[in-house]
Amino acid sequence: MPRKPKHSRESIELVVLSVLEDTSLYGYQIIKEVGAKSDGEIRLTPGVLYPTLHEMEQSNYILASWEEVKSSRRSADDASPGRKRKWYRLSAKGKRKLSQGISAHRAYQAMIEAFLPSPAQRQEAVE
Amino acid sequence: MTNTTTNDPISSWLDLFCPSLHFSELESRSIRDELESHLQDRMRDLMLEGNSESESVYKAIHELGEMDLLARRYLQAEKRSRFRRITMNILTFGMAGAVVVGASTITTVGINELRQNEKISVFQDTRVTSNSTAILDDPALSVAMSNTSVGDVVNYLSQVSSHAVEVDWTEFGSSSEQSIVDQKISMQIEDQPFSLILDRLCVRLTKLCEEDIAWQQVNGVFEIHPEEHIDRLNQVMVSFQIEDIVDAIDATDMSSEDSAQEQLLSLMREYVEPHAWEANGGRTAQARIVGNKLFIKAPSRFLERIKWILDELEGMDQDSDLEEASNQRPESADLALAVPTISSEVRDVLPQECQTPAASGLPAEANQAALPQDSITPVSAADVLDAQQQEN
Repeated sequence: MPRKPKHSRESIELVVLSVLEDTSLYGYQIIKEVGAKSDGEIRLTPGVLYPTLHEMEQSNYILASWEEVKSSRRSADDASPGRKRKWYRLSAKGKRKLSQGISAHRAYQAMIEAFLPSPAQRQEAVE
Repeated sequence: MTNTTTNDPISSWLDLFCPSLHFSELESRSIRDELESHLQDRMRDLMLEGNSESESVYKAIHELGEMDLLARRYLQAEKRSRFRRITMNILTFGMAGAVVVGASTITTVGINELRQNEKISVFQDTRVTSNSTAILDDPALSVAMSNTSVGDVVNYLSQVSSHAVEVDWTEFGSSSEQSIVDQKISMQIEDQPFSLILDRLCVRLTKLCEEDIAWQQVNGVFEIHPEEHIDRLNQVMVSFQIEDIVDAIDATDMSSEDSAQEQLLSLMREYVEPHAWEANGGRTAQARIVGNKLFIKAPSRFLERIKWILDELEGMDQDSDLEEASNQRPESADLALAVPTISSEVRDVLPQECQTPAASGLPAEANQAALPQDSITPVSAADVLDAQQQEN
């Protein structure tokens, strides 16, 4: 079984930028969305995601806003603050970064592809 | 910041973790709130999968990984984002100012930033004459000189700018038999900063002398020298801790015959002013690795690029792992807190709470229903636990 490839920091950033392209998500949703889109092949762990989100926010690729979430089990007159949820969306700089990242990734793929034998050639070699 | 609910395992874990970040109170609070929200969401999902409360809390916290590693990742992320911002500022300055930059101002700012990095130690000889202030009074000037001797051009610039411009002509070689100061040049520049005009002059002198010529401002005086001379005046000694970088190089599958240390030195000498390194026959930069430290003696203007290379290498392996790296066992002290007594407050966070964001204060695109549940496949705790690897 081929070893699963390690994903670079740039790949992780590209994946996060990609899932935020059309919508705002919070961290836990990002983890789920990445898992869903990759059919479980990419498991974005919280220990990797949250520092990455921190860096991307500090680098102004993503913008954040907070939502106060209250449990429905609390009484209506419970004025205590609920927990906070941090939502992310792409900034203009992040959109440019995503676009550049996609182009660079595809160019790199095409470059490597040029060196690899086609499926037909591989089949001939096996035979 | 300490949570008063001392028997809440999530709060207890966060109370231990957040101080290890050494961030500002505001940033620590932000990180704490975000991680707390994540843990509660995750715990909810684990319980919906059939896990007990205690199991759910343990697994949710366990998925965050080793506390030290998580803190280190946050710290590295902070450093990288800070370095990105510094680099952008430096590039912006360089593009706005000059082709050949007055190195002292930028490198002084760069060195101060580097000094704040705990892995970097900087020694700068006090005899080095670097001007710590910004370029003084960079007036816009016009120069229209045709077929004029270099000496006369320099004198003219000194007069119109009201700045002293000093040149020791004996330092300069010449591509022809004629002395450099007598050779003729033409300059037609309209309404440009003085620093830019000096750059243009240095470009012409570089051509005439067939070696790189640069300028620097020292205590208000503009000096023009061979660039190597300026570099020697602005040498600093820096040491970098490279243990993590060596580990990162060794951990990647590069199939190189050279040791990680040799690869690091080669990369640096190839990409940062290769002609300057002693190992390449140069005269202004040396590097050596002793133990887990890289010692460099080089012109200060090299440091930003060296630092960038080291940051890129350090991030090569640690950040490459999307699967959880820690295999902490439950006996560890920090995880032991995850074995509860679960208080009723933990139950309070079990939702049916909203997955749609509150309308206020959020972008319009956030006001949407949660992702359809059938499009999301929760990763089971068992899969995560089975997939854990030792970090580094």
